[in-house]
Amino acid sequence: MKQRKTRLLFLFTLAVFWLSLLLTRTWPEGGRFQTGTLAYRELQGITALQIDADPARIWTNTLHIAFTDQDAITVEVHGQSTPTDAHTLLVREGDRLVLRPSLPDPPAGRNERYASWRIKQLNVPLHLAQLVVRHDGDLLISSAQAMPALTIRTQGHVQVAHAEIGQLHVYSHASMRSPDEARLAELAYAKVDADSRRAEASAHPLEKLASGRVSIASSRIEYLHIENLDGSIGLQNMALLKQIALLATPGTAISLDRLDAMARLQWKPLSEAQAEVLRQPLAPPASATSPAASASSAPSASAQAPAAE
Amino acid sequence: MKPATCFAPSRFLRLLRAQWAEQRRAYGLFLLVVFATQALLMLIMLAMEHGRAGQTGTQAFFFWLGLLVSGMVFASQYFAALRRPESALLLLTRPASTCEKWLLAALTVLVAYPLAYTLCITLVNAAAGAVGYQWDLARATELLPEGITHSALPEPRDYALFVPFATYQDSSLQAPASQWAWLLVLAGLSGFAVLGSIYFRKLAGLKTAVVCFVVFLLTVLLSSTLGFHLEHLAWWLVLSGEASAPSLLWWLVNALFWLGVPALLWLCALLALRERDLA
Repeated sequence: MKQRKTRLLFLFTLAVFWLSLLLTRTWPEGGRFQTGTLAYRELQGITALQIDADPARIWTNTLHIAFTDQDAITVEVHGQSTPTDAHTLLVREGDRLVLRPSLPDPPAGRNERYASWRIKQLNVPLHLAQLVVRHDGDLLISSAQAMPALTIRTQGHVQVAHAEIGQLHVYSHASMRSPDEARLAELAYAKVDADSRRAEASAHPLEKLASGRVSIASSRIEYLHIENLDGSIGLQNMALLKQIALLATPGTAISLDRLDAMARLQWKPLSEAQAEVLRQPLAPPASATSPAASASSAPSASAQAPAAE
Repeated sequence: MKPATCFAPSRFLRLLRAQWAEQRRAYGLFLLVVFATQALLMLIMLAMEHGRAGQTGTQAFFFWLGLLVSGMVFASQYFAALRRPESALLLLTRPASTCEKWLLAALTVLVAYPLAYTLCITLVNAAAGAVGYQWDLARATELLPEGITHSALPEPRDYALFVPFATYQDSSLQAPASQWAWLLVLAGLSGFAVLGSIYFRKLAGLKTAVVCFVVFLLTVLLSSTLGFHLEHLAWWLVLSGEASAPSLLWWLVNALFWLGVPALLWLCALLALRERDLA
């Protein structure tokens, strides 16, 4: 007997399998999610955008911030039930606008970082050229129009793509990462033999374990200024950059993607005052909109006159 | 076929007892091999990750991976006797209906084996969690410079014992509802393995694997040309309140994929067994 019925039933099973897969095309891709764009227009007197939102909760892997010629901040959101008012996401604190969404408690059985929606993209007017990011989520920066300058203070990685920026200032607070994240960086030591690893670890503070990365792709940036405290910093796609100023402690490790970038890179040791600014927490208290607080978020003195060299 | 000839409880119990008496040694040996393999794998991972492989997330990963792989192998071995003419004759002439033999196979592969596997692997996971936590703690204490306190040390809750369908705080762990999907995948794969072991008379394991691979390749080809929207098969998101079901058709498609296909594969196995019996 040739087991004909079994063969036929198996072919029918295969047809059901493929048909059920095919029927998923009945609904659009990502169709279970809503998308929306929320606008925040009261930008009078606002000079900086601060992002406090927990990246694990409402970002996807990388937060895309697009600078455009518009008079409002627009937040593109998607998810099961998205917010409907930008004022529930953005809070004004003096001259800063802070992205700090008020989220409901997660449903029972979900972890505390659960949220039913995510931010896809932030569209920011060109004049808000100061970004402060409290968490260590990665940033993707793009700009539809040319920007004279952009200042970013962050604990995470910065990737710049499709942008024309005169001066880009990156203040890397990677060393301010929480000890938990610093522990992750221990993995880098796993490749070293046990004895030298022990010596390294005991010789340096935890900040030594932190790291940052600046990546630039298909963008025109005349001048890149980086202040970095310890750890290591990686610079990628530096071919189009005319000048790179790096202020970092001598213990900082740096990696370049091309050797000729060395000729355009000027390193200066970070002064104690500059290091102190980097050591300060990124986000001031809610009421801290005083000149002192503003000064801590402003570029340091060395960054104000980059072209003097 | 009359119900009495299809299924009789007393006959089924006799078959169950006979199967247990004949195969318990083989089943025990199989579980021992799975236990040893999983323990060895966990030990290697613990050594590579300095104890962090003992975290609940890793325990869960190896639990489901091990259940799927070993469940398929176990299923393909259930009717191994059919491959040899002498033992095949004994199995087919056993005083029980095809339906009873098939039902016993389904109960053994889909219920008894996963339960026995869970008991075994829970022991491995409990040991891995305890050892992993102490290992990671010792390493973190050694690495931390003076002045840094416990905030950088591993949390005992990260090394909690993984129990299927329990709820954990760790965001990387699957919600209990989605773990049912793994059991349904196991049902489908083991049904396929049982079917292959009955249908093919020689080199059954190899031929089943080849057919499985060909089906996989064809599915990938169809997916790349037609573009399936696989996120619509995530029914557990609807149960956990993270998404809404668009329509009745949506549920029907999910039922076809997650219940219909495994059920049909097991039905194929029943039909193949009956046709072997008649032959």
